[in-house]
Amino acid sequence: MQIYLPIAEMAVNFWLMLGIGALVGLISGMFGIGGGFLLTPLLILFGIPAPIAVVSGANVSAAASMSSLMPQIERKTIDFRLALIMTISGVIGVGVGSMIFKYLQNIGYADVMVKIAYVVLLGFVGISLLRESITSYLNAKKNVKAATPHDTRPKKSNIGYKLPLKMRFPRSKLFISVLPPIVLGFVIGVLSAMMGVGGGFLLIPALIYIVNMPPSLVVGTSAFQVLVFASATSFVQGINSGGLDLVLAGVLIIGAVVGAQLGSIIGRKIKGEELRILLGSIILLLALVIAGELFITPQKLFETSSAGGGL
Amino acid sequence: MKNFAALILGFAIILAPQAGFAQRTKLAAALFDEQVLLTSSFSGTKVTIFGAVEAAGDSNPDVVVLVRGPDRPAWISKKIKVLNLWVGQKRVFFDAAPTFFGVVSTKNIDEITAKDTQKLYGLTAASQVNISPNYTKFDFAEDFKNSFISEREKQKLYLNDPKGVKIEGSGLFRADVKMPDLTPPGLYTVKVLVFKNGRPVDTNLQSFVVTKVGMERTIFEFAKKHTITYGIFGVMLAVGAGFLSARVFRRFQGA
Repeated sequence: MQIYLPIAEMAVNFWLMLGIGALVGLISGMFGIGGGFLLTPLLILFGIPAPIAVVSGANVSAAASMSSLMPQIERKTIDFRLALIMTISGVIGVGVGSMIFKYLQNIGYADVMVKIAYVVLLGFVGISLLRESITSYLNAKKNVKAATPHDTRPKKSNIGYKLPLKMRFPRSKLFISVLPPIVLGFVIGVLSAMMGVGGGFLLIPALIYIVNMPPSLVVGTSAFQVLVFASATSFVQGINSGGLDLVLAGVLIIGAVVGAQLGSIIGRKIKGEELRILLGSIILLLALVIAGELFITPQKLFETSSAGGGL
Repeated sequence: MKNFAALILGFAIILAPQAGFAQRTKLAAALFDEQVLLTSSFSGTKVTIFGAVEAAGDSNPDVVVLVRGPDRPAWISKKIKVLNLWVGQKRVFFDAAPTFFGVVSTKNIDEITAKDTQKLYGLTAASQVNISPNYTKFDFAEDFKNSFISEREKQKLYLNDPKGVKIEGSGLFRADVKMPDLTPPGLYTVKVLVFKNGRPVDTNLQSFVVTKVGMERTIFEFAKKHTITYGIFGVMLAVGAGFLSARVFRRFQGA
């Protein structure tokens, strides 16, 4: 069944878009990430003009994260205080990041810098996430009796305890300096502005390993931030480029919110370290794909402006 | 349907014996539909042009029909290696490339008329697309233009069908031009040219509009006129859908 998109000015397959939405929602619900890193390239692959894919993708991420956030709110598995601090510094980071991106663009090396930074960062995060989660998975298997809730917390980083400006985060049972969350939120904001995707998959490892948040709170807290970021992107970019196609977003959203619900059910049934193994694999895969794009001759050398879309 | 009345009148004039103009080849043509509606189920369409030629002399005239969509600025970029990595790109702009350009004819246009005439009368996509003046100095610009045309041919936005015009012995003809779902809205011009011995002898110009209707039009116009409201509405829709789905699922689970 074909459906015509009024802003993109083209027809797409309804069921295909519904399926893509469901897949992205599933991932979003499981891990608390937005899924924009997957959705936007998929939409472009199926011929949606890039500016429309970016904005509509952000809109769908907002829906998926709201959907996966709701069960977390009921379970009270969100640290709102921490999430708010990181969101505010993240928004500032987005502003700074887009300035850096413009500067790099003027020099002419924006693409190289961003892609290399991306590969290095994702590769590093993916490998360390995998190493840690596999180790704790194996330990948990060997040593069942030692698996008290507290032991499932990954190795602690002491940074938060050493720095000044300590603040209490009752929900996470943390008494740490506010500097690491502020810096992390800012850095993730900068990176997501430069790379054009939300930073959910960077946020989760950061929350686990640097902020030292209990793993049970990570998915919900991350989903909250994704919601704020994706809504802001959808709104601001939508006004700038006029690329929000509500018919496209609507179809994707239907798939995504259902997928997100299923994802959060699955996510609750899987153990923390198994979930981290999965996420680590996805991040590493993403790093490999982007690295591949840098080294392998692209199949499609040419790219053209779209006839429709008013863009 | 009013087209048909005009068309029949045209045919009557053409087909009536007119001794005084016996040496001139005459043409009448009309479109089957004067508008194409972009509805929610639009997935491409077919435009039909009817007409009649009265041939003077012995040899059969050739009919070429050009359908040209609205012009829009366009570009093509090619990925290139920078520092041995696939990160750079070269780009060429076109100030006004037709979004749709279809050529249908009774036979291959190379057999109808010379290359120069094709260019002068704009019978080929290459003669319709012009490189932006700032880019003509680049040696790769011409290559990029050809690639641009072949990319649009892949999307069925530019097409060339040497069998698209069916002509009968009586001089009645019918041309069908297929347009893909990517066809943008706007004013389309249809030019019918009659060639004889490689020279154009008569032309006829028609036009039709491609326009959004119903929900498609409402959404599009609202998005353009009330950008901020539309943006807020989009976010509210996303958040609302997320909220609603969570509620529905909770009920299902009986939690």
